Amino acid sequence: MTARRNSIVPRILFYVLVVVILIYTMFPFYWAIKSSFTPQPALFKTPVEYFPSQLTLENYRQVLTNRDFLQALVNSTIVAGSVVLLALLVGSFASYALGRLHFRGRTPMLYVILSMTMFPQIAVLGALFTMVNQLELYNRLTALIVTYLVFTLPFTVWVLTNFFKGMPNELEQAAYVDGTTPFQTFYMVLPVNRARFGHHRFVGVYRRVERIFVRLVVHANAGQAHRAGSNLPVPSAHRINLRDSMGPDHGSHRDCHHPIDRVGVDLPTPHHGWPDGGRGEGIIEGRVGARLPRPYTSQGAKS
Amino acid sequence: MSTAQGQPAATTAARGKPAARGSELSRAQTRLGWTLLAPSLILIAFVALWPLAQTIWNSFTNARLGSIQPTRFVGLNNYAVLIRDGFWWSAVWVTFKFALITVVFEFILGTIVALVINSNFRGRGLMRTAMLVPWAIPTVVSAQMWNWMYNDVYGVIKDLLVNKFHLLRSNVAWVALPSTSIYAIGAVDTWKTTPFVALLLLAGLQLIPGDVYEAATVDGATRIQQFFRVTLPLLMPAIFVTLVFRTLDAIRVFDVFYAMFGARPDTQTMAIYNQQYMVSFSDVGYGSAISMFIFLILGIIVVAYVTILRVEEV
Repeated sequence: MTARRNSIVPRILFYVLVVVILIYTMFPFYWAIKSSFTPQPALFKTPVEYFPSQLTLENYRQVLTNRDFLQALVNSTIVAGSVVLLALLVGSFASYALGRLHFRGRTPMLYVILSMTMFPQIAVLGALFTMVNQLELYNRLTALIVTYLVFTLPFTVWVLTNFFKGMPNELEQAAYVDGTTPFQTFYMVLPVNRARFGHHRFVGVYRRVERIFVRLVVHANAGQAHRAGSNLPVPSAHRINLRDSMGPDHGSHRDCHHPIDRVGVDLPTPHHGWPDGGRGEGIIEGRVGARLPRPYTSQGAKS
Repeated sequence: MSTAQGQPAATTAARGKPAARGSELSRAQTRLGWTLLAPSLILIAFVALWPLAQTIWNSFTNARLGSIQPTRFVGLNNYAVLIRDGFWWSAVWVTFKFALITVVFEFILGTIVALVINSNFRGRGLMRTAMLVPWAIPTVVSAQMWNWMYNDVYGVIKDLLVNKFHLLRSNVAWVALPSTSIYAIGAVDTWKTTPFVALLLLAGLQLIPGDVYEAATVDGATRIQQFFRVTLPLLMPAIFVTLVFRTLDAIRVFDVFYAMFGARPDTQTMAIYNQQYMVSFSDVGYGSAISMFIFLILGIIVVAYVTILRVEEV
């Protein structure tokens, strides 16, 4: 938008800005990589070399034969793996309850868990430390797993609750009609969320945080609409089509012009983890754009 | 008349039936709901709420780890000592200075980056990925990376400033000098967290409908007017959320400082001071009082933001 209009000068300035930003963000990273391939003595040489004159894999060999490092790697894997598994297990239960079931005390519980994400870890640090000592867990991985679990659980519950909310009602209604108990239903709808769970497991923390905050902002803006929208009986096929309308065929959806028609479309589809079909790149446009009425999104603006 | 009145009554009766059937279902749902919530709630209560209660209690005692003397209730004594503790106030000062520096610069840079990514240009996808790199690198790693870059003899920053651009005459030990270390670490945190701010603001920017700008253009508003009169006000919710999160994170900062400076007395933040008392000195009572004080400060900041910016929180 900024670069399209005027003459060539602002355009060049814009690209200069882009390059400056890229250098700013990437240079330290480049420097770390460069240093890692540089032999020790060459690192302590002045003047500084911006491109390595000699390359070596010696540093990597040293690190990978270092027992302490390998042990640390194993420890991290154990902790991360167990935390993720436990958080998903416990968190999916809670978020199904919060996202799909209607019962007294649901909203307060949602807020309790929400407020936990802002929880100042510092305030429990001391007591946790004493507790860990008393239970003789100090310097054990178990202590780490439990602590991390509690600090990530509210996060997980929050994200998954939104996924469950976005799921089409029909699945469950069909299950109820067929006479399943609520728990059987939970068990049955779980596979629908598998793609989500998979992502939740494998994407880096920053993606998770990213999604959360996109949501946070969305809620701050359109919280009321979203809450109202999530209970609207929008036919599931229609909802799924909205997801697909990010693709070439978007003419057929002009009929839904109210924001509420558009909210809650970020349902998990088994085949596409991300709105843009798995790359995760257009996450922000996909997700936020999907919440806006068509005329407001970039494609719609032209038509 | 009678039919007109009978009509709604009939519908209510008709509706009453599924409601009665639904109540059975809803009772089952309630039971299931609480059953499913129970594991999470128990965990949270056990590892978060219970320790919180203990911290509050400990802050009124003289508890020490591994002490032979029995723990005594000392009232507000810990707090009284804390208020007169010079090292504590210097830690508070360092933390607030750090928070101010980083939040301001992250906001300026984050806004620029968000605006750039929000506009259409070639290589936008690449830019978005590249932008996230600093955030994806673990803090400890990036702190070490920057430490190496800051090195006053072999560091690249010294080389750039002294040899390449001739901005400085001689080497500066950025990290070692008390006067520059806070800015040095502020730059590291700014580099690391700008993507996060940019991301939040970008999400907010993309919620702003395009026709608002069209209307502004028709009315003859310049680009700069559009930014201050249209973009900024509509971006307020996003700005609010970002501000709160960034400020709280900056006030709680621990990892960057610990990785770059260790527990150097002149660059202690509140969290590091707290950790020192709690773990290194085993002074749980005093440490808990520090924790509660930080908690209090965080609370005040949140309340201040909510009242000043008057944006409804989520």
